[in-house]
Formats: sequence, structure tokens, C-alpha cells
Amino acid sequence: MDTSKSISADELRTPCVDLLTQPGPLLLILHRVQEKLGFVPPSLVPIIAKELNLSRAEVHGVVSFYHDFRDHKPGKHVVKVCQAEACQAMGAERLTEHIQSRLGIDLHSTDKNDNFTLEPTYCLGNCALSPAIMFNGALFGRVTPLRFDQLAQEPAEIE
Amino acid sequence: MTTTIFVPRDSAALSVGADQVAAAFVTEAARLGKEIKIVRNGSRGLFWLEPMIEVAMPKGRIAYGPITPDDVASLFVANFLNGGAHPLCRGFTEEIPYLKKQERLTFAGGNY
Repeated sequence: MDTSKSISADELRTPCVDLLTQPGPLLLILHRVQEKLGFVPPSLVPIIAKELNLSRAEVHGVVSFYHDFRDHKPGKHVVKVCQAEACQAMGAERLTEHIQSRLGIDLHSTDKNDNFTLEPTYCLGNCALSPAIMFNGALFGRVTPLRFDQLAQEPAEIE
Repeated sequence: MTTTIFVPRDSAALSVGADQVAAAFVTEAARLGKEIKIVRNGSRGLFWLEPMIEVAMPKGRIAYGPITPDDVASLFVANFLNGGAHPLCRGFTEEIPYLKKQERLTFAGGNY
């Protein structure tokens, strides 16, 4: 799927063909689209709705309900930093401030070079190894500012 | 003689570098000509000791943790393959109080 032009129903169907026969495939399709494109383009919402015989409002409701789905293209590397209780108790606020200053961006934003996107998340289930982050989909525990800097320097290491 | 080393590979252990630790054991053992077999198991759940590795000894397993790749060379120097003393040695795994007080049921898939 190429996002530079609007996506046709055929272009959606091809990568999702194995999902369309499943009962209730909306979430599966949205995950597949985000996996392929990094986000769910708003222009796809009416196409997905038509394919599944749902209203646009229903599809939009699901996309906007789950914060994991994005409606715009993320940076090359996506960093999610946990803000939940256990991580907060272990210094997540300080770690978040460090990451923000290291990347030069706030939460919910992408840097000018489209290199990093920084997002908050609320529990990665790694509470005993707080503070936790996800870096390009990989989970990291006991993250210190130093450890984050190492990851940010060599993101290829974990791809 | 081949010694078995257990290195967890559940998501918690991986989040603190268990894969890199396992790779470091393979590299260092090859460099020293030691025969080891790495078994990737589930975590014992002592997350504050992860990555917690165990060495299979005739009288039971001996635990070391938390291990980073940088600790691996010193473990070989300390003769950990025979349960040697090391600052990160935790003794027999089954004797660690947190585990000893529990009755545990585990699935075969955990490779324990």
C-alpha cells in the first residue's frame, strides 16, 4: 500500500485477503494496515467501512477509541514510554523528561526529521522491571537515561 | 564435559537483555574451548535477579543474577561452570527463600 495517493479498495483487499473471511475482522484489518503503513489513513476509513458493511462512524469510533492506532505517519523509530503507576514509582517521570530532552520533542509528537515519534503508554505489563519502554516494538525494562541513549544511538541493534 | 546453562527467554528477561547474555555465553565458551549447552527456559519469576542464569550441577542448579553481557567473562574466570563463587552467585536456586516457600506448578513448555 502506497500512502502518497489515495488507496483503492483493491489495494486494501490484497494485504488483508486472509482476514476478510474471519468473523469481526475490523481490528485485525486495522492492525494489518498499521503494521504495513505505520498508521491508519483517515481516507481508508470509508473504504474499510464499505468492505465490512459497517458505517463510517463505527470504523472511526474503533480507530479513535484505541490510542495505539495513529491517523498520521509516525517517525522512523517509535518510542513508547510507560507512564503507569509502577513505572512512575521507579522514576518514569524523570526518564520521560530525559527522553524528551534527548529527542527534542514532547510526548505525542514526531521530530522535524521524522526520525523519532514519542508516545506515552499506560502499562506494558513489565511492572517488576520498571521503568519500561517500547522501542520499535521491542520491550525494554529497568531503563535508565544512559540505557535509553544507547538505544537511541543504535536503533538498528533492535530492529 | 558439556555443562548446561539455563538462560530465560520470556518477555521480562528479554527486556533486560537475556538474548545478549545468552550470545555472550556462546562467544566466551567458544573462545575458551568450553563445552556448554544453552537451554532457553521460562523465568523463575525472580524478576529482580533477571537475567538470572542457572548452571546444572549434580546436586541441583546454581543461580547467578542479574547478569549482563559484561559479567560473562568474569563468570568463567570464577569457574561458574562448577558453581564457583562470584559476587552475583545466588546459591542453589531451590534454596532461594522466595522460591523455597512456594509450591510451584509449571508447564513442560517452559523448559525448566
